[in-house]
Amino acid sequence: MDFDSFVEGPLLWVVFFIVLIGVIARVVFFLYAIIKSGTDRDFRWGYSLATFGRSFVPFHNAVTKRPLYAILRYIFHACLIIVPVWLAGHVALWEESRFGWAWTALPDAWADWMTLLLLALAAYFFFRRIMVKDIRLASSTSDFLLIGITALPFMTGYFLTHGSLDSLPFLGDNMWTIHVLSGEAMLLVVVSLFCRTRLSLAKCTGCAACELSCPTGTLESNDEGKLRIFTYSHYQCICCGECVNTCPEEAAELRHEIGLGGFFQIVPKLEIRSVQLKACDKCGAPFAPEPQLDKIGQTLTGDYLRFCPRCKKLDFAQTFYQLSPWTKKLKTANNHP
Amino acid sequence: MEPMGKVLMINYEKCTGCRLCELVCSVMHEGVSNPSRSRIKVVKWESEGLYVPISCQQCQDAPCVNVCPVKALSRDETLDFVEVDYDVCIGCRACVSACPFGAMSFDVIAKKVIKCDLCDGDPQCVRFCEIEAVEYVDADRVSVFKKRDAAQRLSAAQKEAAALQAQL
Ligand code: SF4
Ligand code: SF4
Ligand code: SF4
Ligand code: SF4
Repeated sequence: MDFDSFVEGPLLWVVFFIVLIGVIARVVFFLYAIIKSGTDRDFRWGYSLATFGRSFVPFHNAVTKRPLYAILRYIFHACLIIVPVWLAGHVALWEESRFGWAWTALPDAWADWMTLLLLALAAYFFFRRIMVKDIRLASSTSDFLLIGITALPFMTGYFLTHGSLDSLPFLGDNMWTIHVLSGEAMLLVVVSLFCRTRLSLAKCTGCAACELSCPTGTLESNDEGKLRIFTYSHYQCICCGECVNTCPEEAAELRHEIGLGGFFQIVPKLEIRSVQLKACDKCGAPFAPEPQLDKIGQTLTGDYLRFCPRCKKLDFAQTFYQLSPWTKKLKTANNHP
Repeated sequence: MEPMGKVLMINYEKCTGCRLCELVCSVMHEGVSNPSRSRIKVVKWESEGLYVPISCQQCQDAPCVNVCPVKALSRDETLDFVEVDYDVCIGCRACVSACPFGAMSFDVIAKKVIKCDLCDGDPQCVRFCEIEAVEYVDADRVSVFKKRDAAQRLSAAQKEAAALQAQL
């Protein structure tokens, strides 16, 4: 058997099999993690399901921060699923296969336009990542790789159906194989693709408002001594975007992550951020994250920012006592301090 | 002319440290009697027999309002107090750190910030304090405090804090 027919035959079935097993495993892991966390503590089922459902709708509240980008992203993902599944060529292949499955195909013209739209959006996302400094700094190689891997099957598919590159020496002959291979690569990447919450080190003030907004209790913070530790588990996260919507510093982000390593990490939580807590200058108890106090210090100046609420209350009670009219009366009456 | 609402006036000399105000405050707002969830707190110096109930000062240019990143805090014009809009509040606790008097607290059970809201005009602490250590009076009656505006009170608290700091 030569390479071409191996790629289009057995390899394809192996990939489909892996995808099937992978998806089932992920659903099982997800349910397990979410039920376990639900029994561990107060878990808001209704709210979680609602937020989860809402994240499939283009206009749910987690996207209102960047509406245009959110709409484009939504269109991109819709094309990404619709084109390969309902493409006439693919439907025909399924019908010829041993399963003999058939379903109504998308009109060719639609498939063409959707492919072009997807490629244009992929190009936009790619260049946006390069051009916008903030995004570039926060990007890793896998972000670019992911866009490339996603775009390749669509690009080759488009060339195939239109025969536009048939005259080229190597590409023209092997376009079909390249198309199938890149499609297989994409499927494999999709199975190990996670959507993961990140708290930007540069922007996050450690206030933990995101923790309060998280409906599944995925994002947690614990104050351990002088550190506030944020933990997270990608199997519990329903990618609802509540944390992104809540964060006042635009520091929480949902990002793709290709992670084979994380695939079997079901229950243990990842430590995703630790923030230094400021110790009260008077009693020494840690009380608030340093970056947040720095930020407050830009609006307010005052020594009292260095004290914990309890010490501030004591200070105030003392001041109050000294300023109040009764003190004067007392002082003259019986020389009370 | 700033609005002249009614304010809580605290006559700490009368306070016996019974902490009934803390109990009724938490019952009123949270439905449970748990002093740690009260908006008013009695600071005690037992050895000197000194008890000072402390709650929000409803500052004019309030630090908590100024730092809130989502503008969940605002001044209620009718009762003239600083109000938390819980639909907007995200629970970042910036206001807790910003309040110079420690009057804004975070309720770890309900997971929200809590502060005195004057019980919609009928302060329960006042109602239950039989010896009237806490009173709800027209602002102009609190002559000493009304002459000193919020900024001045603030700087007094700061000076005090600095002095305490110097002693350490
Ligand atoms: S809400 Fe934003 S700033 Fe606050 S801890 Fe979460 S990521 Fe950091
Ligand atoms: S971590 Fe963020 S995206 Fe994930 S479930 Fe919690 S709030 Fe939603
Ligand atoms: S919570 Fe603190 S800063 Fe805010 S109004 Fe009350 S006393 Fe002033
Ligand atoms: S905890 Fe709520 S009210 Fe306080 S600063 Fe944060 S958002 Fe504003």
